[in-house]
Amino acid sequence: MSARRRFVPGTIAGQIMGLLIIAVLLGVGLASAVLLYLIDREQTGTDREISATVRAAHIAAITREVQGANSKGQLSNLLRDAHVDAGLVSAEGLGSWTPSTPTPRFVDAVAANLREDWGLEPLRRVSPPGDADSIFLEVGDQRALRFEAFRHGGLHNFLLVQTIGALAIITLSILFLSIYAVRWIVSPLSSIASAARSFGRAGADEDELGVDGPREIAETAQALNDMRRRVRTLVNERTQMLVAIGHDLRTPLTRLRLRAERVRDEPLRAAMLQDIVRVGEMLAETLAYVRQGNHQEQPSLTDLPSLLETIAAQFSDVGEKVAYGGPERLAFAGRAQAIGRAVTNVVENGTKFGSCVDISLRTLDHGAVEIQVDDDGPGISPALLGRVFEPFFKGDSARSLEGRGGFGLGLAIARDIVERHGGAIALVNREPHGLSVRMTFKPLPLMQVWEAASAA
Amino acid sequence: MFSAMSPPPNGNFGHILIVEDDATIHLMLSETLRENGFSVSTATSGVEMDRALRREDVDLVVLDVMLPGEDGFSICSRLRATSNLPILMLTALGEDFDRIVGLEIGADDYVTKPFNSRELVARIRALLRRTRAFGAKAGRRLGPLRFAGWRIFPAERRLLSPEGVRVTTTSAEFDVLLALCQHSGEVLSREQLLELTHGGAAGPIERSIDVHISRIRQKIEPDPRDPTLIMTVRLGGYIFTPEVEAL
Repeated sequence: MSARRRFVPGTIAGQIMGLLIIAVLLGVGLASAVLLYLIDREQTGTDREISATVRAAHIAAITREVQGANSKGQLSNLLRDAHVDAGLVSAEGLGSWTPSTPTPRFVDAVAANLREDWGLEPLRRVSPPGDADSIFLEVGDQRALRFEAFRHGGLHNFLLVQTIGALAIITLSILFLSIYAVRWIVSPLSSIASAARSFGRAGADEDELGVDGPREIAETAQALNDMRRRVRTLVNERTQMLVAIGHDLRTPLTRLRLRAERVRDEPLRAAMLQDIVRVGEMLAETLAYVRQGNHQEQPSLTDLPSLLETIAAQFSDVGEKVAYGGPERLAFAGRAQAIGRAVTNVVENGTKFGSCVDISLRTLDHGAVEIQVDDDGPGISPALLGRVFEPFFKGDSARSLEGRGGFGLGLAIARDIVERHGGAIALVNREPHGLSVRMTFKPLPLMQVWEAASAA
Repeated sequence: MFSAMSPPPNGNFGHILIVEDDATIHLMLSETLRENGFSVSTATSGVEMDRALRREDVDLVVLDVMLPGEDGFSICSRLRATSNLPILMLTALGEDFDRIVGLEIGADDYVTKPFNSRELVARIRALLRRTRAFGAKAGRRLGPLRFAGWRIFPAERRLLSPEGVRVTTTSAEFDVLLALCQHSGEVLSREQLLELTHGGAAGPIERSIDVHISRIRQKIEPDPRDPTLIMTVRLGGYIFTPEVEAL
């Protein structure tokens, strides 16, 4: 199978091109073979005699006219009108006609005809020998006219040259046609594949697929469009439901909070309030997750150090040890709120597992930046490294957080935001212990200048 | 100028109208506010609010976004069209959208549900103080200001550097900076600054004004170690040196 695979092109474009080329080569080859066979047959029997007679008459007519020509100019005109059929050569080395042996050939029939019907004496080249298909006729002044027995240098030759030329042209045009086929047939297929692959991914192009192209492919694209629309509707309905739940829960939760604040028993009140805060945070987290990409924030030029310092300050204001170290000023074109949320989520995760979190900022090539968040917690087992970004991932029970864990959406949201900035998020364990989260962000094109909008 | 911050002679800090359709929240909120020295009346819809406003002398409206019939946004913009009454909106959970829309259509502040009543009381106090300190028009609905090339947008809570780059601050830092802008050229004591801002009511750890000032300097001073915009006045407090103009 692998041996066969090697010779069969892997892509549809390659296969179509291969098939077309093989088909055309076969077709042209077969047609040529049939033609040659028919021509050969034509040269036998009565057909052959008629051809010889016609050819002899033609040769005789030209010869007569050449013999009657008065001037050089007239002669060259004549020869030109004869369409290279005849050529003027020296009469040296020509001898009388002797029929070819053992089998008489077409040329012999023409020679015999010339002698018998037209009273001309055909000659053939005797020294040097060769040129067996040519007939020479003396026209005086030691010159002779040379004729090919077959018109136009022989049909065999004619067919061969024409066939090779035609094949080359056809093959070339097929190559160009195949490039067209790639565009026409295959490129919609590739866009279908990439649409299917990117569906639901962060930052994916949500446009409908074009439904032009061949009918089958148009139908496939249409089907995929329908499926995407249905999936989107389904997801949107679920999102709406979650948002509605979030909205409706806030009133009872507010009531609960106001009631809890009135509880006289101090430890009970503290515990209740803590739980209520937790529920509120989990609701907020879920809403933030399901709303990703719904209201898309416009990218703006934002100063990243002040953003990271603000995040560090917000955490240190509630008693966590979070610090920023890095450049003092760095303007970056991005979605400031989203980046802030991503970093906040990662820092929050760090404060859950470690006692001390460091945020740092570095510039990369092409205007990209890397934000790194290091904690001094236990790190993460390599087996879980790939899974922590899954929504609702909670880690192993050994890392259970005594009610401090959310829904496990923080890192999933962070990854989403990073990917919407064309970047990547990576987790690396630190020595001797701790986790380092590295997020890269690429600058986004600025849609509009915010100040202009607000100044208006 | 800051006399309005001492309690009024009758012991009433102000009259608050709560527009909220949930009866329990009504009740408990009213109790809490009364315990904190406010007088309170309530309304459950825009129509009731209009009636209450005609009947009573209201100092501040606490307005829920989600109301039956006319929603909070619509009520807010309607109210804003005819009066300068301070409006504090109760916005939905995790909805930056609500907050931004609310501030754009003229709310003065917002608290996110489920809120902490201590925070709500602190916000109401701060809002009333700001209104009284700066007068109905000057204090609230503050337009964008410019100082030393920087631009500060109070409603959107946005700060732009001279290069047009957005600089992020904590809300306490923003409040302190805004207070400094409104009193440029005056010496403000730490106590005055605390009074003019929420005073760190939101967090469990109250940072001193000095911490906020040092963080602001880090963000806006050309050289934070040698400040030229926010200068320290020995034994006095701080003075904001740049010229501040409305945009």
